Amino acid sequence: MVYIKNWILIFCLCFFYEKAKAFWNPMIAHAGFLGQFNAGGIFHFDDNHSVELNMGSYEMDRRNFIQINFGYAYSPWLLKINKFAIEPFRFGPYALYALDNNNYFLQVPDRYVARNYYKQNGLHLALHFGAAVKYKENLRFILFTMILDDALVIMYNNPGERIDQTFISTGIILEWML
Amino acid sequence: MQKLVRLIITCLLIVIAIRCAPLRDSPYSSRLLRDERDLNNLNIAALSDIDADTKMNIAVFADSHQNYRDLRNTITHINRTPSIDFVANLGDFTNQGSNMEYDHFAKSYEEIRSPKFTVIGNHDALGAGLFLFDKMFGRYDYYFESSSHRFIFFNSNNWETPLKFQSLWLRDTVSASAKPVIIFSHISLVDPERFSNADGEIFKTVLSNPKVRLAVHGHNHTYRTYAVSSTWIVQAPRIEGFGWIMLEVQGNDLSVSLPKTGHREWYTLKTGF
Repeated sequence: MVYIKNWILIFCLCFFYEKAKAFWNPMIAHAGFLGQFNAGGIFHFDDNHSVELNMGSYEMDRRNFIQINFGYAYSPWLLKINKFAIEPFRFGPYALYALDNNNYFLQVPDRYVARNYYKQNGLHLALHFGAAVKYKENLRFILFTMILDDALVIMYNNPGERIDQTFISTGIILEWML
Repeated sequence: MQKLVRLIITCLLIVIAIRCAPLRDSPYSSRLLRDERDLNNLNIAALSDIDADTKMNIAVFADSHQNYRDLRNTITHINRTPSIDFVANLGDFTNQGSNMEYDHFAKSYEEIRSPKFTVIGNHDALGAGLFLFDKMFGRYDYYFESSSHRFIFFNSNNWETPLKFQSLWLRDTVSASAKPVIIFSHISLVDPERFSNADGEIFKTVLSNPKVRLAVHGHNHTYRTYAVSSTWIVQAPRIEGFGWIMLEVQGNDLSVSLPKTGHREWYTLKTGF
């Protein structure tokens, strides 16, 4: 529970602290691996580099839980066509962290005999790639596909295995450009 | 013209991204993409007469984890093997008990043509695994009977599922049986790390019960046979590298064969019941 409060505090500081507020654009998402429903912010360093911090919800046994996600995106190209600004390809790493410390952990719980009895299961790393379209300078859609760390391990260990329907997900983000 | 080409490429990339994968849920959730539900009960209902001939053939595999290629090869081989009465999956078919792993395993599992039964492994119970198992396979502890035996599938993951671990259920289900019993579990009932307490005593009582003819488990990844209180215990190897076993029970004779090596061993089951 302490962990959850800390994370929520950090999250709030990022978006509601006056100075930070000036840089973060709010976003909502229906975002696959990032959570069924998701909200947060995107910070643009420039036209090519941005970071995303958001919270997503997921359901376990009819109860809702929160995960926190942090990612970086690099967009090498920007095409401007009339009212549209298009990033045909953007990609980068993502980190997903479950705030539910009962079912997910970074360090193996004490009841197990050894600290390495299990690999941590609370943190996932992922790669995302996709495209973005900005409309009239204030609305931006991002469509992405995300591949989890598990998928890369499975592809390495099982050459030729088709994992696209289980270990890869798509997602949609809507961003308001302030 | 150049702008138009770029626009078309962008549209194509967006379409590819959408087509590339479904919009699935968080890896932490207990939602499944596939619609298989309550598989163990469905297979019990579909079970034909195991004792139609005098010999009982049970294919056993365990600990497939994320070795999907070996799992598929093993299932192909099991499907080509004639006269299998049922297939027992002794758990650990995931690494982290995630929804993706359950979905991906189910794709191959559904290819098994014989009736098939799964017991939950310790890895399958991590994260949302306990809820996912309940959805996809049904109860954690269950049994079914042929005219000659009671087959018990028991959740032996005491550390991972403390609230669902029922050592007394196993003892009572064995005691209540009017037939000889074969027990399937993921972790050995005589695991010294896990069952050195009161549960260990209960399991000793279970294994010394004259009704229990055979116990089969996985978890340790290597093939091994040993006896406790005159009950033969078979430890199934992990599936990696085509490691599955065939148990053939005829009267009091048990034959264990490893298709990987062609190795076969014979044992005499206890006849106290």
